[in-house]
Amino acid sequence: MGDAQTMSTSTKILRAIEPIIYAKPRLTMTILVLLTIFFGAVASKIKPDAGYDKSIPLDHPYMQVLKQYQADFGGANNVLVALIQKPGKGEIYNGAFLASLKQATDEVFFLPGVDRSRVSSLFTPDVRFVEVVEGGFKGGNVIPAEYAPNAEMFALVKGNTQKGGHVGRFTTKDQTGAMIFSELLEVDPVSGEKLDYAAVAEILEDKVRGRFVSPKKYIYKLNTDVCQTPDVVAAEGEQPAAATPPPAPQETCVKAGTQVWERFGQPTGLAAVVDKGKPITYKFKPEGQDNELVFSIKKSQMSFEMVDNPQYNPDVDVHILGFAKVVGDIIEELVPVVGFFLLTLVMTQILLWAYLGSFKLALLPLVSSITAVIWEFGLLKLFGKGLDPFAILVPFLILSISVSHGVQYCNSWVGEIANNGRNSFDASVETWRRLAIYGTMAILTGVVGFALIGLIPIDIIREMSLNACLGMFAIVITNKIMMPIMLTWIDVGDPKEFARKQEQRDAIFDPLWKLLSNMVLMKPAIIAILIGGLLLGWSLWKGKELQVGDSQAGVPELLPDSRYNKDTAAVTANFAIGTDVMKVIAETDPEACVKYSVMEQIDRFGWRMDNTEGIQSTISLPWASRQVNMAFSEAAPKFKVLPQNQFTMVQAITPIPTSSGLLNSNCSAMAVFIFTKDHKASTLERIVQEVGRYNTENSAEFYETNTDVNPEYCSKKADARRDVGNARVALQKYTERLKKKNPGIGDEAINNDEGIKKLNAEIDTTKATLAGMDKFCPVNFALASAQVGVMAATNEEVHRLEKPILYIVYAGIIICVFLSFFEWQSIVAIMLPLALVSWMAYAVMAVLGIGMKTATLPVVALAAGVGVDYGIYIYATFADALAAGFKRQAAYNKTLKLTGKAVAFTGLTLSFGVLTWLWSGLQFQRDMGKLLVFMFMANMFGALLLLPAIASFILKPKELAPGEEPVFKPRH
Amino acid sequence: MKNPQLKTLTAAAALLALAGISPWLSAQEGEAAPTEEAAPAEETAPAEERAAEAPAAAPAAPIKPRPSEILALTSKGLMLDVVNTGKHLIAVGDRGTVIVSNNGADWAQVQVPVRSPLTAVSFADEMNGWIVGHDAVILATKDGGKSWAMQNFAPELEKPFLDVIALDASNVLAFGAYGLLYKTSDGGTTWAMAEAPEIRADELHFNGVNKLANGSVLAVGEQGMLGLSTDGGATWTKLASPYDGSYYGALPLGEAGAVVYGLRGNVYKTTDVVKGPWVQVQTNTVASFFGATALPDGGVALVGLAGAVLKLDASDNATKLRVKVRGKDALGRELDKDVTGSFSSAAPFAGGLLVVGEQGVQSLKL
Repeated sequence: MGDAQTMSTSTKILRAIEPIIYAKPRLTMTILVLLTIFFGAVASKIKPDAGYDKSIPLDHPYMQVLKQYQADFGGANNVLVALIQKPGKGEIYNGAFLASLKQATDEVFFLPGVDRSRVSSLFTPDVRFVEVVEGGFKGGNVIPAEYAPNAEMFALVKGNTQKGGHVGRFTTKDQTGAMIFSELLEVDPVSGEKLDYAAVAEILEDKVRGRFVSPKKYIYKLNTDVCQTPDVVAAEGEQPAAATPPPAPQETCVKAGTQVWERFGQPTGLAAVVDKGKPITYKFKPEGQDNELVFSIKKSQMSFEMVDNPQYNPDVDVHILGFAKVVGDIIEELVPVVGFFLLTLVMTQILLWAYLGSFKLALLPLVSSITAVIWEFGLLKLFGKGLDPFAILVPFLILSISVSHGVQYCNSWVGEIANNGRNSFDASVETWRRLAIYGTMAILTGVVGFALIGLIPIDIIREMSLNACLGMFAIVITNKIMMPIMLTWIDVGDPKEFARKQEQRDAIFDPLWKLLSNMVLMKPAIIAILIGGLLLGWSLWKGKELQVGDSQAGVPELLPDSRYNKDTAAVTANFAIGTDVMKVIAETDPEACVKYSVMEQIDRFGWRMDNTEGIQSTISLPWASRQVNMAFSEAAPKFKVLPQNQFTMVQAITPIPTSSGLLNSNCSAMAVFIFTKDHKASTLERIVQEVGRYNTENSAEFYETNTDVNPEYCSKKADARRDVGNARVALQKYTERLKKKNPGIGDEAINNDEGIKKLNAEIDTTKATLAGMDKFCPVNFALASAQVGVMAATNEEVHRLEKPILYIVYAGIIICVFLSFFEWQSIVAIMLPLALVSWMAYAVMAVLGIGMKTATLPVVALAAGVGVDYGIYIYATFADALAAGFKRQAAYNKTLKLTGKAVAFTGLTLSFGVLTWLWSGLQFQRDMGKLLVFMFMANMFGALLLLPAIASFILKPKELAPGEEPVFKPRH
Repeated sequence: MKNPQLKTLTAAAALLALAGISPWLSAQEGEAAPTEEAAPAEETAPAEERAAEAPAAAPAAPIKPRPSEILALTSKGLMLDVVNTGKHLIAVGDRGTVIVSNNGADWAQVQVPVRSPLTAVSFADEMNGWIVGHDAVILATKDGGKSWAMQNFAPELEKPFLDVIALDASNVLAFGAYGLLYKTSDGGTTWAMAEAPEIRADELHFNGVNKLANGSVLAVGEQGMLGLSTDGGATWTKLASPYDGSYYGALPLGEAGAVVYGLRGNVYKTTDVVKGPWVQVQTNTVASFFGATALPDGGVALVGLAGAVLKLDASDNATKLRVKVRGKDALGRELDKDVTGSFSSAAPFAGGLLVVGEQGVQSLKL
């Protein structure tokens, strides 16, 4: 179309690209197929990749505090295992229960990635008791070393537990259950390897829970000898054998019949299929050798027999909490999730078939969409990433955006054949010329939206952003190159017959299009705009109720009645200490805790927190030393105070070990535990505010009496302290990376590394700076550590970024839309409905009780990504038709038949498909399903009803010369 | 509901774990555990890591008294003494807490000029009263407890006052740790350290003081100390004691007699504190008693360790009572839990008893 002189730039571009697709379609296609096979192979190795660290805003000041003191006060990645006697089974002080508790403690202790210094239960030596007796104190481990299961011992343990004040924390309030506390390290400090949460979750489920609740267990024995030569093993072995290579690399065999594995439950259904392929590891130490050999044994090499489980304890329930368990439960549900995706696809295929009238044709959008997802996964894997279970939505969005574009394409192609009587090849070329620019711009607009979400400094969102951008790139390839080529090969049979069928089908909907084309008339347009305005008003009002963060107990990603959330409820109900803990770090100078003036500030802080709404209780070093001081004073309540005398203070602090988690080794930092009633954003905000206010008031009082320092000095000192922490964290991270890159690297090699040297020097410099600032400053109460601290930081970050990100994404989309059309009308007509849908999405989230958090933060941008292509297709055609001289109503009628039809179809089909998600086993998927149904529908209605209404006021049809007939053609 | 009991429940003993309890601790024999002197550091402190590493004490900034903070949960914090002035109930406690009530259930906090823990309160009449506490604090009111003025504040002494008795609107005696004894005869305009070498020489803690029916003042303390003054605190004599552990307080009995109570359930009574004889009351408990009050029916209520409440009737029959935690659980039901924190003091009120201690103010029916 058009002569060389009148060719616009975009047409020139099109002409330049066309040969790539159409010159040697077979060659191009072969390359694409080969690439797809390659990406498919890569993608098949992709693994679920969950991470705690990446879901938290590590740059947030709170998280810097958390990282700085992680070695002293722990992080937030806890695993809690509670064993609770079934109702009516009495207290825990009996042989069976204590044996189970001991076994469970051992299992937790040997969990991969567990920080063994932080495993704590009645059986661990850090849990002690103390009692005041005449003449002083008596104390010891709650369960003594000489423990044996007999009545006397049970009574002793019970007494010690009570004396130690462990009721409510290490046991349930009514002493019918016990808790094992532990914490996971995400990166193995020795190997630098990242923790496999799925494996941890599996062990927790089988080796910890299954061990006690399953009456039977399965013993796996080797069918055949399994052999290995040691030097192969040496590389994998824990101890690199470089120093002492085995004298003669002899083959070591594990004999057939050896029991190599056991488990307490058998997977069923799909999980069993997955399980079959998973090998197990067996560690074997041959006689006379020091090195343990690690065998990887396939399930097919073993057979199992079912035996009675001697550790089965019919009286206990096991409850397991923690991020690792959540990840495990979500991964467990992923198979059904993929199933739901497939169901959505099948339904889409059936509807497409009905719509396009040809099964083969209907297959094309699906094939290209699935190819896009294969490319996406392949590229993701090549970028070194895995698929985060929390980002499972992204591939589906890619799929649906791709389907939307594919349907447009097929629709247009069919139109070219049916209405203009072209053959397959010409129809494809024509469609390409008409849609390539708009389609690609729509996709690029989506890419810009997704890429801009990557500005959020939370790794999991950045990963989602990368993931989505890669997917969008894949869509460009599959929809704009593969699809046109495949279309040229589609044979529709007799074109006349095909056209007739199409017309028949179209005729069904003609009255609808006629009706809809009224939208561009004055009255309906005004009504539509008014309704849009009302909806916007409602959304702005309702959207304010949108919760930041989680509001309910437990994990919102899982169903309220899921096992995990039931476990949470059981733990919360039975233990005095809730699962919601925040730690505030009181920062001061080394050895400062013996000073009354310092301890008093922390003590008063604790009491101020106690008095803050939403806080259940607090524990701190002054709180504990008050108890000790009282105990030293014949337990008289009048001495439950902080001693002014430094040596009495020393006496009151000495019995409190650093393992209590209340103080670090040189006493320059003390943790204040704050147990909150819930983790609602409003509660956390209030606590954060109160901490800030106390900091201000307390330091003002301090400066009043300590005139040698001022706020500037102390804020510099606080910065210097943080610099030390940040430098240490940087070194730790660098070391981990170094170890991961060079497995088995020795200490010497590490110390000689240039980067390490530089970071060590940095630490020394920052330390020296801090040490140089030796004037006393007010205690700095630094937020925050532990789970609720992480939540507070995340909430703040989400809250801070929520609106700016929306604006930035919109700015990006506006620029893209403008670049597509170079006219301001396009921005108004396309963006207004889109913005309305975004704001309505907030309101809908508020109505559905879905909180705004890291997993849902990208939703707005994603919604825009889904919606913008509807808008671009409709606007482009409508504007073209008007420019061609059609009257408004006729122009819109034409638009509806050309692209509107496809928009309506896509919106409905995808909504229909997503509707099935409401029966998913994951609350997260149900919520997303609801949101997506809303977004597909709302964007569809926005594009079909509101967009033309707005456009009718700002676009004018071309004045035709008398007698001139309007001829439709793309303007670009 | 705020639940202060939680703290007791959650008292992780890890906190109190004696992992590193030094040998010098076990060497501390006898019931008088706190023998820390306000003496120079080098003498009292054995080699102790933290103290050794402690930075040289910076030139101490003068400690400024700060007004108490008005907070919502004050009545549920550590409360140490309660008194019925005849007009109001007044309770004192941790962090400069003074709270006033007319019904024993609703308490209003009164701001005072200090934040130090307040240990005891005594009224001469409805209007004139005194409060003492840690940091050698003495506060006085002339308006029945509405406002309190500071009469003494000496944190550098590092000694707390533990009890106070207002003999009348001018003469007040304040007793404390390490033989601390202050006296005023002008309503607190001037306070001076009392002489009284008979009872002060050993620098023992005075834990409690009371006035007997005949007007004598009986001060009790560590190592079975019983000190008597028949002249309003001018001169003192040390009395023979039936017990050599710590006493925590005394109640008048008859004209010249008293009931004294202390560590590990030890309660003794006599009809004449000078002549004796002292008779041990069978309490059937080893819980220490830190406070007591005479009941309108002639009996005595003793309160103390870990929620212990013991009612003795006129003929010394002992009844153990438990105090229920006030408040509601998550489901809105009345909590069915005993107070497990120690009590420090009690006062009869409205046919029942008000008790104060680690878990704040509680009440029970008798």
